[in-house]
Amino acid sequence: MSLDLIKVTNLKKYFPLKGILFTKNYVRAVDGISFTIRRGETLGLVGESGCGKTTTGRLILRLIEPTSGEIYFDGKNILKLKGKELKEFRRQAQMVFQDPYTSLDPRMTVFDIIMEPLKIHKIKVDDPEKIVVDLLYKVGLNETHLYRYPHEFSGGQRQRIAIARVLALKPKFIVLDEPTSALDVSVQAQILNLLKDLQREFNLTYLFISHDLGVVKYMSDRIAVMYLGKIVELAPAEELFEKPLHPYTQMLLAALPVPDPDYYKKKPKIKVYGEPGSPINPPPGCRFHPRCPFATEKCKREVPPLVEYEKDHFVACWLKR
Amino acid sequence: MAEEVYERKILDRISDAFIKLIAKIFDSIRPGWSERNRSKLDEWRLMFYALNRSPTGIIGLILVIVFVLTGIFGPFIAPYRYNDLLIYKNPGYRFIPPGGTGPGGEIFLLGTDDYGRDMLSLVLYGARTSLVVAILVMIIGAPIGIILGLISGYYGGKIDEVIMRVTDIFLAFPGLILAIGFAATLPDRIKGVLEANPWLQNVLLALFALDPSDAPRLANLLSVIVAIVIVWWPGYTRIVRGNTLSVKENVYVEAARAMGMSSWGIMVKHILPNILAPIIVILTLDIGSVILVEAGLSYLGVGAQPPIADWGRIVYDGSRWLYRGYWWLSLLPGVFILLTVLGFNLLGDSLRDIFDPRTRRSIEFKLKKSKR
Amino acid sequence: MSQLCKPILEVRDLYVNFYTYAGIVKAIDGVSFTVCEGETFCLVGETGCGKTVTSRAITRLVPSPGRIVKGEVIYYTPYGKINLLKLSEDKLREIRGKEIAYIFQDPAAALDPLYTIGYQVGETMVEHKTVKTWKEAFRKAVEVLRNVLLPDPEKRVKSYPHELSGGMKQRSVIGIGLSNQPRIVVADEPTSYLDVTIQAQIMDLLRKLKKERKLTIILITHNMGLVAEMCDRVAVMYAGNIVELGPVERIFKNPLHPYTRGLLKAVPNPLTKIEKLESIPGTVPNLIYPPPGCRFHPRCQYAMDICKREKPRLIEIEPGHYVACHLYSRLYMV
Repeated sequence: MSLDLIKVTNLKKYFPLKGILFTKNYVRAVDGISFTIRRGETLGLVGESGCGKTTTGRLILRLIEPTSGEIYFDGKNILKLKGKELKEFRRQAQMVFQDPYTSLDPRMTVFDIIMEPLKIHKIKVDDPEKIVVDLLYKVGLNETHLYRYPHEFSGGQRQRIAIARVLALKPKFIVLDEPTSALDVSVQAQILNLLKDLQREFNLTYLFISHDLGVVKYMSDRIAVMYLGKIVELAPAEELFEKPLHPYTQMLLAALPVPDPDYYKKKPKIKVYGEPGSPINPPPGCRFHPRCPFATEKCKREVPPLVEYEKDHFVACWLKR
Repeated sequence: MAEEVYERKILDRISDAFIKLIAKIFDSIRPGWSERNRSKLDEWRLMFYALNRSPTGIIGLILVIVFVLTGIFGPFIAPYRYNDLLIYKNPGYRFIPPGGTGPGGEIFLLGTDDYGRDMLSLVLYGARTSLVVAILVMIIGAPIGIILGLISGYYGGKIDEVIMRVTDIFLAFPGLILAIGFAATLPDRIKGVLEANPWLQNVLLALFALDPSDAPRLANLLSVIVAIVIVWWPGYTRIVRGNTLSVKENVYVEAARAMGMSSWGIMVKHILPNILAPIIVILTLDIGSVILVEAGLSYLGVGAQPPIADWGRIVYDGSRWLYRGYWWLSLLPGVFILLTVLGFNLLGDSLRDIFDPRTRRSIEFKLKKSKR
Repeated sequence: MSQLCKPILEVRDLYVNFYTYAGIVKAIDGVSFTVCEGETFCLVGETGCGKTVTSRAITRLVPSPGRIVKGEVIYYTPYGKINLLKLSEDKLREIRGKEIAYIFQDPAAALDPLYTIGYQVGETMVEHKTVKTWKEAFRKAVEVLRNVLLPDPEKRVKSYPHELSGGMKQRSVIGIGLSNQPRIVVADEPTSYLDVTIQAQIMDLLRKLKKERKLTIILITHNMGLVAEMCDRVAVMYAGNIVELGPVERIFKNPLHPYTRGLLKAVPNPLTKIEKLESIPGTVPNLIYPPPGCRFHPRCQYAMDICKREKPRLIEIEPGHYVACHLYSRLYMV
């Protein structure tokens, strides 16, 4: 059994835009990314709006079809799966969504919601109520919640229900798409701790997508930074923060608001400026060059590949070779 | 305004008892049912309370219940059959005014018509006709419209385009002309079908409470039903498609896909229940329209042929005698059409309010307040 | 209060209720604080704590079904003190937008999609008679946009909102807010819809403008990092009350209220290594039926009997640092 649960090679997703008659424009949401996720680890995926992280999450679960590229799950090419095999993949790879207020069907009770995946996969259980109650306890709820409707719960509780629903199928891999962005800070901590505990207990592998670097650092073993559809840096979490190699990563870290007033007494060395480019007409060469203080001629023409600069620390930048 | 104290009226107690009864029945079939569905039962209770707060809603409900009961039991309780042409017994039975007495001393509450038929019986049979027509139109037309709307909204793309264009074509049909045109050719075809399938004919005759001798005229009635269904289902497709499009955006639909649910499963289990409320409202309002349209077509002579009792047809037959002052022949069936359609309209309007979760929340809050 | 504080805005005993179909939401439950001239004052808290409602209440912008039930908002002008809550609608409108400007959360919603940026900047100036003609307004609009570091202002003045990015929109909104030379700027989560790198630039811009024009900024946010970055003094709000108030260093170095402590421990600081985030158990209370006494007591590990009965008042523990908690009232010896 290989170390890698997921292997993504040169994944691309272009969304066609309706242009005037014959002009064809594309939103290059994901523009050729490659990475692996090891069994039992949490890979964090960060970036700002338009970077393609959300699209990547959906591509990995094949909720949308890629334009090109390959995705391997547990050794199998999931893009070639059909019928029963595809359904089996869906059993093993699940997703927790960002919005707890619309991710649960308002007309179903908690019991129905959690039982639903078992029904879809025709898994027979002897005592459905017991199974559901067990899952509820695992996520910090209890049996009094069994026959209530989603609108009776708070955002944090709804997210717990969504997590219980995902666990019902005993998956191997879960994509967490900004699972706490819609929640308050105090509730966020509860959910993040719950996710960590569950990962240990059930030996889960996570892809944790977020725009919040602090949260991603707390949750992830390794982190991939995306910009305009490409991965610009991929490194273990601590190392990314201590030794950011890519100028964009450095800018991101400089821009992070730090909850410590003393930090702001000293002036940060790196200036933050520029706007994220458009994924429709991305700049040629290195996507980041218009905002990069170190941009060279080469950067404006050629796209830097993602290479291993130091042990397990990958970066896509002409200046770091 | 927020300081209103909530009074529980008699109607509320009746509703509570009704719900408790239902809960008991289900409990006896499946023990523990009421416990599991407590939230749902509470919502039902609040919906009834909302209905009780709306005088127009109650009136509408009463009218609808009266209509349905009349439709079902009318032919059984009618003193005469719809084709009892008493004129052949005794000419004195003609044109008896409402409340008047016949040659044999019988009292005719609603009078008689030019053939000596008892108006009361005609109205009761007419209710059955209208009820069955409305149900048939709904049972055939609504599923077509809803299923096509779901498919169109969910799949989008080319399928959506094709279905929408087909719907547009059907919507463009002028219903009246279609019905008239059908009346000329369809009944013969239908007769052929009925003769080939005598069981079908018998079922329909029983539904409409008709004598077998009226089998040929049944075909006319059915052709009108076909005409109405054709013109009626596209409206549903449009509405259901719109609602499907907005419900489809909800994350729980994507979550179901991520779990491996089939498209059909998602449409039936997730989208349909969430668009049901507005559909029920429209259905209720539409039943009134269908009854009205059918009556109108029969008035024009395109629908039910005499002696089949049909409100619209009776109004027409009676209108020829208005000049003689025999007002009750037209007016009475007209009043019944009015009350029935009004009932469905009032009920449909208040259903819209009842299904709105905010109404229930507001009642819930007021209940909590008055408990303190 | 520090002796160097010259008050510019004082909120006294503010109560705001919302009369909804579900019940009466007691959103603001007796809030008092003073904002000093030239400082950046932060209102921080989670959803439902009342920070947004408080910021709106200052100029009577509370939307229905909300109503200001009690309290005063004293605005200190060079010509004397005015109670904004008792002012006539006309006079209040003169102050609102001119002397007290707002920047809202969603820049796209704050801009009318049918008019150009230049028009909208000009509109506020014409409305408040800062300029005499529309021609002058458009000229000044270019200057305004240049001041907020919008690239290519001469061109942008003729652009429509949808042609601008989120960051540029927010700069335009800030420009509109500042075009009439206000004394106070109320910024309600101005960057929560923006990316982190854009957020940093907007915050830099606000700091620069504040220095140039000697503004007083009231910043509303839920982000503790922003508070550390921008604020001089902080008021921590929970469920309609201020639970702690003080200078930013003291709040971070010596958080007194259990809620403040919990909040700080729940925020992942990217610069430190955290073994485990500590969360605050429970959830924000329903403000239609708020808990009696201290509204935080159901979630507080130190809750005592008195906390369930009596609402604690703000007491000064160290100079300028106030807390509303019965743990400290015993120290105070009333």
